[in-house]
Amino acid sequence: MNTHETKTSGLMLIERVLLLKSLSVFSDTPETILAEIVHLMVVMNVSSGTNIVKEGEVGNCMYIIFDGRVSIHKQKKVLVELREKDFFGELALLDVETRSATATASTDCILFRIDQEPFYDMMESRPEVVRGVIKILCRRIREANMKLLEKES
Amino acid sequence: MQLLLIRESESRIISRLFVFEFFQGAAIALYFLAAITIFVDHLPPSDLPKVFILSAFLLWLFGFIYNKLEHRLLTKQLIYFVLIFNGACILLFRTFIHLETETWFLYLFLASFNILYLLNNLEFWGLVAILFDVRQGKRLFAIVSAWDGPARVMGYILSILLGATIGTENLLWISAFFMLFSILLFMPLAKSDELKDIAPKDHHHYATQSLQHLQAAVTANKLIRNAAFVSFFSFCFYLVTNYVLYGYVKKQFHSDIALGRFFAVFLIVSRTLALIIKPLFVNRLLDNLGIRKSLLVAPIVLLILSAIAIFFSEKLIVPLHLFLVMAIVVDILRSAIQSPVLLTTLQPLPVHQRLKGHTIIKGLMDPFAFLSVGVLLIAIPSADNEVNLTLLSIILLAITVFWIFFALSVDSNYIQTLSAAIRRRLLDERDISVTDNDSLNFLFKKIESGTEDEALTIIQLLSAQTISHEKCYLAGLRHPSVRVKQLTIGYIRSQHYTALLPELKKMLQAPDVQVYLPQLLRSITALDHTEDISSYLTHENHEVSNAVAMGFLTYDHHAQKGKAYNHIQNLFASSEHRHLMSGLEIVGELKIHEFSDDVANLIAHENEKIKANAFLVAGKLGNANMLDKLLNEYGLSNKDKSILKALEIAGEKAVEPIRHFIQTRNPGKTKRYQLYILLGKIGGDAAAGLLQQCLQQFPADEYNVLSILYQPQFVAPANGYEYTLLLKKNMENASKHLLALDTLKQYNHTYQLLIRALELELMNIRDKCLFIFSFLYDREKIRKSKIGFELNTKESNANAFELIDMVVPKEFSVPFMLIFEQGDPSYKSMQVNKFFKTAPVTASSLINDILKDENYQYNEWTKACCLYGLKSQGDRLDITLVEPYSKSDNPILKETAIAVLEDIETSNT
Repeated sequence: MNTHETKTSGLMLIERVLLLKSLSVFSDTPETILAEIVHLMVVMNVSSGTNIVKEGEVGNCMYIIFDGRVSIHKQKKVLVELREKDFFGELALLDVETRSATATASTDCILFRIDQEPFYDMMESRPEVVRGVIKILCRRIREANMKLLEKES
Repeated sequence: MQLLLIRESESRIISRLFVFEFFQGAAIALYFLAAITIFVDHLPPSDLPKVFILSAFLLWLFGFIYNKLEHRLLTKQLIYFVLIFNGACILLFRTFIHLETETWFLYLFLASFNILYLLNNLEFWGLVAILFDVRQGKRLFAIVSAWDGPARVMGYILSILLGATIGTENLLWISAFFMLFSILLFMPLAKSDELKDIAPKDHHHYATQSLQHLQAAVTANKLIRNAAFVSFFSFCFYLVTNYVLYGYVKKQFHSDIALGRFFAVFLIVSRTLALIIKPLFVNRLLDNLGIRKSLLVAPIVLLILSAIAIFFSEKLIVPLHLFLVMAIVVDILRSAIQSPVLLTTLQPLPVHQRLKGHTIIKGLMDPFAFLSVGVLLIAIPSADNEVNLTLLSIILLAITVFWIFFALSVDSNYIQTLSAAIRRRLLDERDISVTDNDSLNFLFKKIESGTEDEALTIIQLLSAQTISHEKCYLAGLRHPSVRVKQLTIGYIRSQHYTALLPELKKMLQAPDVQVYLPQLLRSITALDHTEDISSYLTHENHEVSNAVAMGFLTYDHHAQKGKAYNHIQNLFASSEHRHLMSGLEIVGELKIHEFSDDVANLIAHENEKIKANAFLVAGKLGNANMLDKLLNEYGLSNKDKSILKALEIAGEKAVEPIRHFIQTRNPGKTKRYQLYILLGKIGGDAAAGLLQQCLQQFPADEYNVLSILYQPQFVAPANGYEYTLLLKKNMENASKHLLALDTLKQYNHTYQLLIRALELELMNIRDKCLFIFSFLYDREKIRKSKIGFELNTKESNANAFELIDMVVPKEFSVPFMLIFEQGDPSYKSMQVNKFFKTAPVTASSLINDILKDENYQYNEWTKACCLYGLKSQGDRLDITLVEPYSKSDNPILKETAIAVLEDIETSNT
């Protein structure tokens, strides 16, 4: 993968907290708690056309797009085009999962990566950080149940 | 209460339920006695089948109506509705009792008993299901249901005592009074938190099963279907014998008083016998006879009685008496033996199916039985209103034959269901009780012949049952799978089954012994302290030699112990990592303090894995020397997690060393927080004492310490006065923040970030107040209000404030609500100023206050936001206020302060 870790996102730590707060996954988490997550964020500069994650590969981190666009696709079929302040792979923070699609940088991107293991350590002392991820998980289960019910009826 | 497994928090609600159920049970018993007496007194038994048919249709109709209402009314409204309906129904029949000469009135009167009984059951069990969760239900349902029997007996006794004096029909006044009185008894239950908020949309999962769902369950599951048929035929038998009994009674007794007295005595005898038989004999019967034979007891006894009745059918009086006996026997056997045994057979089913099965057994088949028996009895030709006893005896005989057939099917379905549950590993030893011989023998055979997974499941299941495990473990030892053998050997050791020692020793010669030799030797040495197996100490597999050493250390014999010590010394003297790990394992498991020095040496070992294990073993040993070593290492390596885990293992012994560490080493805020969490995990008075000490010593840690003390393992701290002062201080600070927010509101755009940070400070204080409220007042209610705030919906917040208003004295609850309820900050700060006089604030005085950190220790995030706001504005400010933060431990604060300083420098140049 043509990526490298860098410290040149230009964002101050306080601004990273505000970036996290603007994501739906962390919108309910107080900034005081997010302030403890920011040092887990690893900045990545990704060139256009690079595969960030590949379908079927085991994932253990989530990505937040700070700058640029990322295409989520299954082979050539594009499922969605993500932009600034979008994120993907968030469930991998809770459980190692096989990536269900490939994510490719459509433009040069600056991403933040949060790895599972340090996030787990953080959860031990600050369970509040995981609340947002659990909420998303629950919402997806409810949506899946609704779809199932609709299908059955 | 403790004997009945009722917890303190549940005792109040259980007592209320008992009284509530008692009055309803007595009301229904009195109503039934009055109805049956007046009916039999006025009409011949040939009218009874029509009442059966009417009952069937009314039961379906009211079951349907209840189901609909359940989805439309609040639960408490539904219960009030049922109680008022039942009371009104009784009063209505009493008011129009002069119509007793009208046949239709009497039909309706008697049939309505079934409706009242049905509604009472649905309402009461619906209420119980809401008040208690599934886990409480397991403990409490049997206790709650046990009160119904005595309540009925009390009703029947009352009718004997009062019937002759006031007249049978006037028993209905007492019945109505009891029923309506139960409305008063329900009022405190309706106010309970569990019931308060149950709206129709919320309680669909408590709803009675609709007929379609149950039909689906019956058709989908053979066990439930056959259990339903057993229930159906037994109720048919009950109805036919009662039909004959009423005819017999009518001939024998000619006044309503005499009839009433007979019915009361009859019911008292049968109910009391059932009450005695159920607890005394059911479990023993199940254990000795097994499910199959227990289920067959009732139909076989009744088959014999029916056959005798046919034999004596020519002599009228003999079968009549026999019918009387059968009526009592069927009533007792159905309630005392058959129902509990049928419920037992449903245990291997998944929970949702089991619940459906329970509903079916407890009465869903009754309307079908009413209809079938009603139609059958009308179809039977009778001469001059005389019952054809021979024909009825033959019908009863036929019913018992079907009954036996389905009882046998239930037994085979039970075994199949049990097998399937084992295969799918659905069984949980807490959910099922297997004690009957048939099932046990089946399971023993299954261990021997089943797959590895099946055998493992069964052994785990049976090891938790109160039975003799010898056969089970013997079968486990003979299973070809090594995993099964290992599990069994483990159970034999933990349950100290010395009877199986010869079998274990025999296994030392088995061809596959090498795989499970360590476990085998541990078990043999644990069960027999004389067995000399020293030769294994030099075994090439270090797990084997370790197992022997561990075994020898438990021996009284010095020679064996000495060999074990030498073995461990050799392990620690070795340079091989695996030997060091083995030494640590043995010392940790058996807590051998003599090797503390060796463990201490390994704490400094270069290998990370050995080091981490040494930490854990040091925690297990938990002596002062070991704990000091652990705390010395704390913060120096990347192994803090292992050190904290080790201190947690040491438990209360670690509290004093931690106190010493905090006081002498001056750890930073993050380290202190980790130690507070650890103290929370350790729990107990000593940990609570240290936390309270830290509360005084480190005001900046107030939130963290209070949140740990709030955890349920701590009892409310006793120093109420100090907490009251802390509460006042926090509320005063909150009022200042409120005023500050009001001031900053004018510069909303400029100080947006700081406004949000101050709001967080306020939330922080709100939580601290809640923690302190929970120490000073009703802890449970404050917990519920905190959950309400966390849910953060309009309704949950309102309920949370309501709870605070109820529990907390006005002195604190009024300002609390003024500060934290939604509203305009200007108005709120004006109101709060009446309680706490606060000096006016300007934006610059607030910034000074935040950065000076004198009057109140603001969160570091708030300070960072304050600085960031200044940076983006390029404001001029006192550099001495910012400079200290450029050396802060907090990276965000440090970075922001440096950026502000750079800005100031740039603007100065």
